[in-house]
Amino acid sequence: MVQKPETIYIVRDRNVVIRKVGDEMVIVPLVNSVADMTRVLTLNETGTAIIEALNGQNTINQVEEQLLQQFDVERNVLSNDLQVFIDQALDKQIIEKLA
Amino acid sequence: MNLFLGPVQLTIKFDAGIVPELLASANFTTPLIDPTFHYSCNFYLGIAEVSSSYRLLLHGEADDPDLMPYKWQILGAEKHLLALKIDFHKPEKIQQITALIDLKELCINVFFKRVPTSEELHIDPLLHPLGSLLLVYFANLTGGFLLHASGVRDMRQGYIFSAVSGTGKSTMAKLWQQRGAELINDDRLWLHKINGQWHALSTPMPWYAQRPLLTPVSKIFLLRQAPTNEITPISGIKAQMRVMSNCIQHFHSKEMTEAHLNHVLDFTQNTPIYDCGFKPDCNIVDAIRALAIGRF
Repeated sequence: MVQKPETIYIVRDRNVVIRKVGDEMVIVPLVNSVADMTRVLTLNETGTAIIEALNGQNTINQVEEQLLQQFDVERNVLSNDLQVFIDQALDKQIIEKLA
Repeated sequence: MNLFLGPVQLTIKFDAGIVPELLASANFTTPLIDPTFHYSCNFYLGIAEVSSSYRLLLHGEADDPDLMPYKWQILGAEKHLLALKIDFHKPEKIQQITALIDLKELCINVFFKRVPTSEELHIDPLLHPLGSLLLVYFANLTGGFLLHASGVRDMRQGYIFSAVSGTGKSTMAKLWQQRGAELINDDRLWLHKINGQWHALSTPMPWYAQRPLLTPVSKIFLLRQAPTNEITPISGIKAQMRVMSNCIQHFHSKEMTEAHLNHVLDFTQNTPIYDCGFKPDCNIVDAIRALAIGRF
């Protein structure tokens, strides 16, 4: 699904337990408050930066700009990676669309 | 009577008709470390009245239904009220156990529904699987966690070897015993922090009288079988989560999951982790001892 540049996403706080360790992150999904330890996710530095940027205030456009400043990456590569990341995070019910 | 499980003290009173016959808990009647939590427990004969406000949170069943067929459920009412319910499919003495736990009042009332008989009920208060289920909660509530792992103390070093079933935990433990190390336990450890240092504690085992033992943890090895010995230091979140995947972890609430994650991350950030492929002979003991003195 192609994201509109003004779309805003936020982490579904009720559905996950998140901890940052250094530049990395672990996400434990909750199903009806019960931890699903079979679907624990680990994120590298880039994934961690994306999750942190999806704070319910930044638009996708702003997230992209923020990440371009943070990482040495071509805009079109980042844009594609961000698209894939958001699709997967939506699919895993880690984030939701706010606006 | 009193039982001491890590930092938890249980003071247990038995109904007339229940006679404590200690096996799993036989050696846990004196404290190994200072208790910081004190639960009052009452063991009754009869059927528990679980109010309709309790709802099912979590359930499971025995890993090996032929050996020990039972199902367990965890129900919850208010945040601090839990019920552990165990149903035995082929009951010899007991049909059902229900433990009503009040985490605020630190009180546990356990009810045993028996097969019809006029004889007294002789039980170990930590009989399986009641003891194992309670331990998961006690560890979580006191800042620690349970891990599928064997552990040894060897020349002032504590090593733990973690793996899924059948990957060599107890084989590794035997190799260390052959070379003079003290075995803490060969299957399950309670990781608990004492004065800023993570320790591995033995826990009551269902089928024999384990002794309460502990060791500070120097290193953790994640085991896999291999044609040659290969010990590789690993770090980062993926390594930490490999440790967590071997934890005994069934948590019904976000708070418990948050606490568990905090405990495991603290342990794994402060304990060197190694991927350890090994073939079952004493050379692996020498290789790990060499790590301790920097010769590997």
